[in-house]
Amino acid sequence: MSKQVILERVAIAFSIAVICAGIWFWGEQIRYVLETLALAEDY
Amino acid sequence: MDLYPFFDWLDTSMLADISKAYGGVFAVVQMFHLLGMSMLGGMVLVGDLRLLNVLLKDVPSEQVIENTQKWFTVALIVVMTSGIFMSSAVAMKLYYNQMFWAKMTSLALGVTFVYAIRRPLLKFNHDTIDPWTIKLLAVTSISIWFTVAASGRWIGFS
Repeated sequence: MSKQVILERVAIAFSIAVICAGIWFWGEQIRYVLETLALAEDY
Repeated sequence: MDLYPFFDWLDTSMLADISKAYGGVFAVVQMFHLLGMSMLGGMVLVGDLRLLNVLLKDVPSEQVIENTQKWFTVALIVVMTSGIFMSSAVAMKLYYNQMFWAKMTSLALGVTFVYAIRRPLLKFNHDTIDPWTIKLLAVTSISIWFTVAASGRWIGFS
């Protein structure tokens, strides 16, 4: 298997993992902000 | 691996003495940090938007990537050097800040991605690489550096 093919496969695996992690991380931050806003509205 | 001893050392180092005592020095270093970040962000956007075929369509993507990569490295050195100096002023505060660690994690991912994957892969003729892989590479790169910038900005509000 050539170096280019290996790099392409690594790039795809790394990208998918990073994008999933990013969606989870920013999802958590947005959920936290929305919860804080909802709490503020209760007062 | 606990990095507490490093932050404890940084908090009492000569760098911290200077950054805490001389507001003017801190401001100048921060100016370089911001300049470096804008340069880094610019290089990422120009390179990745070219890979996505959004801009500079009449210039070969190999040429754009080669040129932006050089200045990306310069910007990264400026950002990291000035960043270490700036963090010495609030080292212990940063150690307990969740967003700081999010920024450092994404920065480490970004550096690994650029120098271990993106750069070696894009040294090959782009016509021989699957177009969807190139687009995925560009989207991932923009996502990582957006996270570095946004979580960095978030440190001040968390």
